[in-house]
Amino acid sequence: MSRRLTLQVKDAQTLVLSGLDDFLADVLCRIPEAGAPHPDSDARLFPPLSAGREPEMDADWKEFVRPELESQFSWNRDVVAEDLKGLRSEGRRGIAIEILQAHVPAWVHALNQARLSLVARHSVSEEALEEGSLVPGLEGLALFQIQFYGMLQEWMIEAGDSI
Amino acid sequence: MNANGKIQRSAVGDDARLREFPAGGRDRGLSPFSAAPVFGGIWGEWVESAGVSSPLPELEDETKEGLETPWNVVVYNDPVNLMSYVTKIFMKILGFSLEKAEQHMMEVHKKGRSIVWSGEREKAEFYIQQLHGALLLASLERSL
Repeated sequence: MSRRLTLQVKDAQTLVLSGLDDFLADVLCRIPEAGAPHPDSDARLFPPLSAGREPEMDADWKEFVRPELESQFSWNRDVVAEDLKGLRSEGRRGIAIEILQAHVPAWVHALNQARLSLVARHSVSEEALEEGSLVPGLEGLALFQIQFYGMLQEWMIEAGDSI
Repeated sequence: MNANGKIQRSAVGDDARLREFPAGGRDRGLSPFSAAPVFGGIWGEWVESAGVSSPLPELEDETKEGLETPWNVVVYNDPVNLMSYVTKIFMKILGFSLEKAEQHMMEVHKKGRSIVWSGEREKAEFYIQQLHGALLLASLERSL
């Protein structure tokens, strides 16, 4: 039986991502980790308010707003991590996961967080992103994650009620 | 009211609401960019004292000038963010129509940046916080 990766609307409240193999399920489970705080992605995930034009305002932004953003990003990852516990085998049809529509915004943002963080952490070039070419090693896996997460993001934006 | 008892007229919205700043915020010239209860936290703890009838204290000149200067919310290009995602974010956060959101998204994509909103600093900061929450590269700049 052929296996096809799909994201379908199950009902008004639920999406189903199905047809995952073991590898894709593993990549999916790496979303929270990929978007977790890391020194190399810090500047991208928490840009200053004025890009350095107003140093005092940037300092205030870092002190007062950054903690809220950190909390928000953490919450997105936590929602995804909790949903990932629901991955289940459907035999020959592969592995599937149900995602509540209400969780779609957290998924879309967590996927974005993971993609941006991976690009920063692995110094993935714009050319590599556009070509999508795979190279051996960790950067190759990172590039695959970025592309795969991007595809899921697109699907969720299309299928979800809102982000 | 907090220990400092500092009060400032809100620049967001049409009503002249009173808000109390957390300790340190007003002294630093920080405007209440997180006034709307989107993310909670310390900013969500501000008390809105709508029924207060005492006259509002005058703002310091420096703060008043900072709030009244027109400010731009600028969004910069980022090769990672998806075009569909950026469009949706513009619609959700800035209330753009699909057509307007796509126009600004394409401007960001082709020209590297787009001014998506101009006006009071307080509201500009509020938008930027939300745009940063969606991981768009956005910043505040003085409107020339």
